Amino acid sequence: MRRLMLLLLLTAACAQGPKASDPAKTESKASAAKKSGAATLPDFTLETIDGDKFTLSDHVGKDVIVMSFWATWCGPCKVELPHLDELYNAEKEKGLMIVALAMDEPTTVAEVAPTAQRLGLTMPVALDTNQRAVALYNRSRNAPMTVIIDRQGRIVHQAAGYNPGDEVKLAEAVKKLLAQ
Amino acid sequence: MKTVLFGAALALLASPVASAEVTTSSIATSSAAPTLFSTTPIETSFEEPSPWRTGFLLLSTARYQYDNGDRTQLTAINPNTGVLELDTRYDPTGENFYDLVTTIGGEVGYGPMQVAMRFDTALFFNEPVAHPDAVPRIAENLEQRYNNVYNLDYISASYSDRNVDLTLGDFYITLGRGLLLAIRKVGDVGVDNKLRGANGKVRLGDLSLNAFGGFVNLRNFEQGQGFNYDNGNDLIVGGRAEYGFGKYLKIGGHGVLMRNQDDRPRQAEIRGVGATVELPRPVKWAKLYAEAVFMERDIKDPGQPVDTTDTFAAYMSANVFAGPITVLFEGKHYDNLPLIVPDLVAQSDSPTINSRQIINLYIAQPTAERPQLILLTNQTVTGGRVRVDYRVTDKIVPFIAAGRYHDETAVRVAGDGSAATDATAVYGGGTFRWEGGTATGNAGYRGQFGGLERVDIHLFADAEQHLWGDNAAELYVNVLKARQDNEDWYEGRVAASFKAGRTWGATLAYEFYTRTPGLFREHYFSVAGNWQFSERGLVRALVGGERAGLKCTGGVCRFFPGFEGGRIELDLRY
Repeated sequence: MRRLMLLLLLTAACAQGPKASDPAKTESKASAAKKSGAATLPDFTLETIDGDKFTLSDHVGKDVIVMSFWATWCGPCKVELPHLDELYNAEKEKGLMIVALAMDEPTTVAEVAPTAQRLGLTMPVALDTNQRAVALYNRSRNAPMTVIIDRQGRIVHQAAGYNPGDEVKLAEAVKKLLAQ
Repeated sequence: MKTVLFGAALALLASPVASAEVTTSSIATSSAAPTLFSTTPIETSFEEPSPWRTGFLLLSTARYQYDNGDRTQLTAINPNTGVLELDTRYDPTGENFYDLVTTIGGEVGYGPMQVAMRFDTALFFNEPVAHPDAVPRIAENLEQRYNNVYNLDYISASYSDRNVDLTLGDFYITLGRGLLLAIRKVGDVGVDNKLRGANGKVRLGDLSLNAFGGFVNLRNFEQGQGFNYDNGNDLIVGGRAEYGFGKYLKIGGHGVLMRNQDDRPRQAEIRGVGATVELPRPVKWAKLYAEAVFMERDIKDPGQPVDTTDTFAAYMSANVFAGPITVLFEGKHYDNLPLIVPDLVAQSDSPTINSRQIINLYIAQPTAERPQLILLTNQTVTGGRVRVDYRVTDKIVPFIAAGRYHDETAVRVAGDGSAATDATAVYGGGTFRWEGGTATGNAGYRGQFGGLERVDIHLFADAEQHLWGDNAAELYVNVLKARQDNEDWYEGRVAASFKAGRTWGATLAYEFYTRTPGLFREHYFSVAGNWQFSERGLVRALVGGERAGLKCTGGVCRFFPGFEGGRIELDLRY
């Protein structure tokens, strides 16, 4: 067990992540990055409350993606979601995809669609009842939890919790990513 | 890769209150990215993204438990007198001890592949010991508590692409709404049940197929009372097939076999099948979900014929969206639906089943009730509730809800028709927003009469106001007035918090529990704070007391003992 742990930590320490660099790279590199973006992240497909399917790889390498993990029992989540929906409607034509990933248990999942309706959400609301997306992108099962993926398919931001005013900073950051 | 971490959550620093409404969640996550909320701007490059991902997590909590004021477990039969009496020589809920609980986790990903693991340790110092003259029950109790734990709690390797999900190692699995199987994590109440084996899912157009099998892997440590317990030896295998006809209809079927592999006198085996029908959005204004399961449980005692018990359970939910009005209806009919717990013991088989087994349920029964008021046993019950929300404006959304339930669980056990209980619940509230602020709240009544009589009146409110800059203030009130067995009491929490952006925050809290004042302390005060000292690190601390009580999240309720002392938590993520 100890060997396994050491091996994992060693591997983690040696692994190289993407490095930030001069944004003035060539268009061909950007294009190549977009094409390969979908292959850099583990994928998931979830049902939405409208009966559609949301597949992450449909958007990776193409859109700026904001994944917002939430639950009906999470008070701050329900404060944050209308702000995200507002941002989604303002920027979706420019290539922004925001998906609200409901982590509700089977015991409360019936509340998800009515809650989304009450909040007036128009963005996709997907059900992660089997904790598939949670296992890949929110292992600590935080709520709310925001994950942003840029157009190159890289996770550029993750943050748990919500404070009033966060939505302003989020909107500014997303607009920067959309402009690049 | 750069990193991030965050925190927010003030209210959680001092929490155990009977509440289904978690106002703030736990903190932080691992990452490999710059933060939006620091001065570091997001950097973007057009370099080809690396398929490698890494993450590291260290969570460590050190506590000193002074005296939680809880004397409820001191009663025991004195072997010398045969009389139930208080033993004042030892408080089995624990006092004057230290513990250090640490979780270390890491993950490495390459494209669609990911390997993750988590190692848990729990160390106790100056732990309670039984007095030599104490009643034997106390020493027996201690054998399961305050033992140091070192455990590889989670390890998995997974592959996920558009059409295939494959996991070897630990995984979570829920079938339908969980009436037959729900192996899941509910972090706020310390539940982390997994299957250790293999799980595969294939999507072929509108058809999806899922097969899985493994042994149950519990979180083997319960910090609230220092209990530790092994995984048992329960094997669970099953599968599910689902086919969708667009948005109009989705049908599914699943089956499960659970078998205890131990060589014990009483063997249990459970077989179950279930079917689901969903109309996700046949029309724009409605949706429907229905599920039914049938289960057989074999109890095999040596030298006895196999005793087989049948179960039927059905659940449905329906939504209607009519302009500003949203209606939710839930109905359930459970006929002898057992609470399946480790070692495949059903609660109806063993009324004395202990509370730490109960929290590790292998199924999830939609309660159709406010979960903090689960007083019915939810095994043989018929009923439903309706909730109507009216969206007056974007900022004003009131609601009203009502439920009615008829419970015959006790009738089944005792064979006495007078043991049936009828419950009625009515409550209402709403969400209100204004410039820079928000408030949510509800209040209501719940009365149950018949076999088990109890009346509750509750009030819940949570309001947050943005002040200036990144600063905000929050007020939280949760009060329950209850009456049972001619006894009235209050329990609840009032807390005020101040948050200075994401850098630091502080909470002052008062909690109370006035039932049986001789056994529980009545008043608790605490001060808590959190400080994010870097992008990667957070410290939380609490000094004071927290009341004992029921805490519910996601339909799982768990009784937490009182706390009096101090604790400090370190949260590091890379």
